Amino acid sequence: MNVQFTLNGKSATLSVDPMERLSDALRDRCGIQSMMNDCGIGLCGKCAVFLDGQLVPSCLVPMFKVRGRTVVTWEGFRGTAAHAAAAKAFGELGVELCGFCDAATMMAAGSLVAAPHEPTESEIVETMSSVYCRCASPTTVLAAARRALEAKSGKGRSRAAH
Amino acid sequence: MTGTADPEDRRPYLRRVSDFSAPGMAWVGTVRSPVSRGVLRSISIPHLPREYRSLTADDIPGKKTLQALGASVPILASGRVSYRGEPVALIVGPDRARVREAVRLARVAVDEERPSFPSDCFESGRLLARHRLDHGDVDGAMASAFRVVEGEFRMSPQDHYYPEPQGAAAAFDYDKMMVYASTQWPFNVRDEVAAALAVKDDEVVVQPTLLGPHLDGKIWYPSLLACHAALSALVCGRPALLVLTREEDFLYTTKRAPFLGTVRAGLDESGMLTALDARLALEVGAYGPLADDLAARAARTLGGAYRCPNLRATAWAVESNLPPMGAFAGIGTMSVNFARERMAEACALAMDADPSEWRSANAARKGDEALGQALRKAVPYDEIAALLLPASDYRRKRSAYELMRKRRDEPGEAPGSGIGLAFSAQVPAGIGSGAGPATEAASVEVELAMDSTLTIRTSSVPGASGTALAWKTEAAAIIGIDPADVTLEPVRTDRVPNSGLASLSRSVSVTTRLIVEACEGIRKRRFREALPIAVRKAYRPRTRKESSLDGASWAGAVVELRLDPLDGAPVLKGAWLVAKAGRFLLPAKARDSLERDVARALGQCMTERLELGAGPADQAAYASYRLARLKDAPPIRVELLEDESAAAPLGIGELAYATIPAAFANAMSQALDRPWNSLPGGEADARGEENG
Repeated sequence: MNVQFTLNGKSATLSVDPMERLSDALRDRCGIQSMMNDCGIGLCGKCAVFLDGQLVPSCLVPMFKVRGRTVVTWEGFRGTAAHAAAAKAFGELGVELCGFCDAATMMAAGSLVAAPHEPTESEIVETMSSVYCRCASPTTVLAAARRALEAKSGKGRSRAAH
Repeated sequence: MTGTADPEDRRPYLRRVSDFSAPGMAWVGTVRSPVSRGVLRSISIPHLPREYRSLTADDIPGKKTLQALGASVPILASGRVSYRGEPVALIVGPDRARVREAVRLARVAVDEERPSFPSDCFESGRLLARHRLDHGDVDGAMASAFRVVEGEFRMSPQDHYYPEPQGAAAAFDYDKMMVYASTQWPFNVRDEVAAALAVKDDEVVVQPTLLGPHLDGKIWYPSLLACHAALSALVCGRPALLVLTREEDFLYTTKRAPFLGTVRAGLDESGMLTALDARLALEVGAYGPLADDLAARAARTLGGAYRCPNLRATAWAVESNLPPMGAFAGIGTMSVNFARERMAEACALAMDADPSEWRSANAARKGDEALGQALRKAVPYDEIAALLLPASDYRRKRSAYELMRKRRDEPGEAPGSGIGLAFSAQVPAGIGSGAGPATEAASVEVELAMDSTLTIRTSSVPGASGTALAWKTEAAAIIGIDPADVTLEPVRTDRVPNSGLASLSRSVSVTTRLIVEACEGIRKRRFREALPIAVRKAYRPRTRKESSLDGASWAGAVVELRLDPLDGAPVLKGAWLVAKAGRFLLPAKARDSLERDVARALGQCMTERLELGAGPADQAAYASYRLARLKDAPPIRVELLEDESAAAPLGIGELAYATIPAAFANAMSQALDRPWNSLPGGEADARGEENG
């Protein structure tokens, strides 16, 4: 079947098996290399993408579900203010990621920054726990996510002051 | 690359294997044995389109087996198969989906024979290696002991779950075969590929790709996949890529060798350890790579930090028809450290002593014999305990939990809270660690150029960028230049010297020492000779007799937990670790790295359950293998004990794995008021059945 969708702001059409995983299609057919196509069972979160604005593991999304929807990968997300805030916070705290989970971790942290409401502590922990990797200390990853959110609320306060 | 959070801004030279692409590239799929043991009768491959090929052992032009740390492993099985999932053929072609489909349709006929799987007893025919340490009169000491404490300890296999499944790519670059592999040991990949292709070593160039936290799961196995990829590239005349799926990786690659140990300890009236007697068995799977090393390290690890005048440790590495098992962080020592520290707790309990005081009294002192040699300095238990115990409030909490344990109204009910302590060492490479010739060949080259920039060349591939940063910082400090002027030459086997088993934490300590020595050599010659100056240093095993514990790094850990009153599952309340490991060049990085290791080690204690007693893992085991998440980690506090007198930093990569499992099990034992002697142990065990 032909599936038409929006990928990183551009229209894309793929001729695919309806049950093909979105993660496979993105990596093998669209050349998206930031995401890892790893566990294939929704466990590791390294294939995270935004599907209509919601962070999802793309290995659990069959291509027929993508028709007419908007997919944003790290390549499309990296230019956003949310990503910049997350990357800055991780950089400031010296969080060393392994080169495999970076994109998914940044997107998870960025999704918190981009959320329309102030995420609760439990949302922060759950969201950052959606990416599994043995590479970084839990404390520093969570601290970086919180710092990214502090920057967001700081921005909010500054906007309010103006 | 401190603070890098950008996937594109990361060592572009060392890309991921799965990112490999080249014009005309072929995908490689693996046809595997459907049974665990038997005689291979036939391999039937479906009709393949013109651009596709199938390859069997007959297509290998050179050696048909690879040498994997003492074992001879078929590159593609022929004649017999020894484990389910063993590669018997390859299918190579330009479309990945078609290759997968062809692999699915391939049929392998085997006359099945009765397989052997891990069990409590084994036939002598399955014994691959045996090591025995024996000193003093163990039987006499046991006979005259005031008290004898016994325990049986188990550790299940465990998946490394490194960030990228195993894989390799190969392509011709003019007259060389370029191999890209996620490997800790690039020179082994080169040598084995060259042997399989029947070409000279220098006709193969290996470039390691990103490793990430590998937990020693990428020592020899990448060489096997590199042989598959290189063979495919050679026969098909096009670049070839073989990347396992995570499921394939889980089902068919190496795991931590399952362990079963029985330990007896003899104590005198004052609680001093007079004898240790242990039988330690490690199931190493088919072919048994690392069998000798695992057994040797297991036997040598038993005594650990304690003074024990009479010690007998017999370690066996036993073959089975599981996929080849092997190293995990610590290479055979993790399981024995667990058993010993559980025994230490049991000894203290038997003497009604505080576990910390028992350890302090029994810790080896200067002049005590350890591993056959007199110690030049005391084991630093008291130093570590002086930081660890107050930080964790161990004594007060333990006393409170002991009171709960002893005075509870319902003896049938678990007390529900516990705190556990453990203490262990990470022994440096080479010095009696059984590391063997691979590590002993380690060498590095450092060159100061005319523009005063420094280049370090080593095949060590650090799993963490903190290590690389530490090397640069130390080298810059010795030479007196800016760290920004120090470059670590990207690893390629034609450009850097052989540094042996590169990324083992213990080898990284050796590499660090060689870099320091080379830089000091340059500093001495710097203003006497014209630039450039290059100094090459190689590791030579010490001929002076000394105990390996004298050069060890040390750690103590405490884990506190409670049992959920509803389901009995352990709920972690906190973990503390104090490390003493020479000089810490980058303390913040070291602390971060240890904290991450503590979280991983706790996850392995709690959730990563894999039972292979009835046969190899299947899809259900893969689907149910639960990894600990960020949210599962308790508050973790790490303290570093600086050792200003140390000449160089020491390895820290194994310290958390050497201490945390035993500290966890000791806490569980107190919380349940019964011995908790096997890992991992999760909710089901805590609810009911005996553990150990």
